[in-house]
Amino acid sequence: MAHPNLLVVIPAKDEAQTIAKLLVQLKQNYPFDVVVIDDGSIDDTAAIARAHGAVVLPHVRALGAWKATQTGMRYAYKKQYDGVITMDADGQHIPSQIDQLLDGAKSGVDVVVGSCLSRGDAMRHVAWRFFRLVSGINVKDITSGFRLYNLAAVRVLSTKEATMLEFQDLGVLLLLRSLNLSIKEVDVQMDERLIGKSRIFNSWFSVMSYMATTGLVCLTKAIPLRDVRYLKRFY
Amino acid sequence: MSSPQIIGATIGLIIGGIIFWLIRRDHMISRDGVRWLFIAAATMLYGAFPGVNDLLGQFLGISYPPIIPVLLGLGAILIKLLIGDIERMKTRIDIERVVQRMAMLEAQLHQLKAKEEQSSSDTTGDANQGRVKQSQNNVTAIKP
Repeated sequence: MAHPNLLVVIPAKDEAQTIAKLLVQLKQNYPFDVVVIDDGSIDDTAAIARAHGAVVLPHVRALGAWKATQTGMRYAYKKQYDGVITMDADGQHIPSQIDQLLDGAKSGVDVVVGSCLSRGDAMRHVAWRFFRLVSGINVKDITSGFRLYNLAAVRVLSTKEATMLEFQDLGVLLLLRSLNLSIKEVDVQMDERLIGKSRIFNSWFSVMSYMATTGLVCLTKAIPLRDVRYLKRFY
Repeated sequence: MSSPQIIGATIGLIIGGIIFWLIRRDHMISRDGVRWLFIAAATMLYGAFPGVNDLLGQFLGISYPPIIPVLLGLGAILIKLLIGDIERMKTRIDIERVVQRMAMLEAQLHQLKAKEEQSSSDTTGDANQGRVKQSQNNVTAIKP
């Protein structure tokens, strides 16, 4: 699958220290347009992104990483891009690894997930394994935000139903699966986060909340929905 | 009609009257008002004819019929809370999608502004160039 007209979507909140380096690397190595979604930053993230040639979509209030990513998806769909690459702005995702995603997409799949199993502690791996078991989704790194979506996937993820999801993790994959979109996982390298910390795994409370929310999504969507009235909402 | 019956029926009537006033003054939409008026009417009838309670208890096999209105009330409150949650979620989703759309429109506005500034500076540049040329011509004309 060729991707002549891809959009790189980067949700960012207070990432002024890392965003410039990422944008420079992207510009130097890839011909893709870049959009940065400023999710209610109080630093110069938006100004720096604009100065580096990115289109900035500013949220008037923080909606969270997934909703910010979805804003980029909606923009891509509106502007008729062929697909979207999502990346974190905190320096974890290495721009050169986009090649792995592009290679993975050559087989004609709808979604390619960049997976790095060396990150995360034992607890996180137990959680991933548990969710994989319950949901039946064959993706090991379910929380990876380094992904490539084709137009069909972008279309589905631009809908109101996708706005109801909380994270760009299993819920997104389960939604895509229920619409028979294919998912492939490729190994990529990732760096340690340069600043800040994970919004999901930053305290015991948020971990518990994440486990409960994602666990419920897994249980309710474990069997793919085949109801025509439901599926019609996406077409 | 005994005193508790009168009080029960009066409470129902007062609730009905308040709902009517709220709709009249546009504090409540009529769709919600219908639901509340139904509850007010039920309260009034239940207060006026408490014997219905005993009949219902007998029919359902409940040995302590006065608990029936309490259970019904709790059930109604739970359903109302559930509906409230669903509506709150819908509103939240709408707001979030509006925020997303606003972000896209703001970016578009920014791009248009930049384009406009670019074209106006080009025009000003051309005009200035024209003026420079004109003055050069004038100078040439003055020269012998």
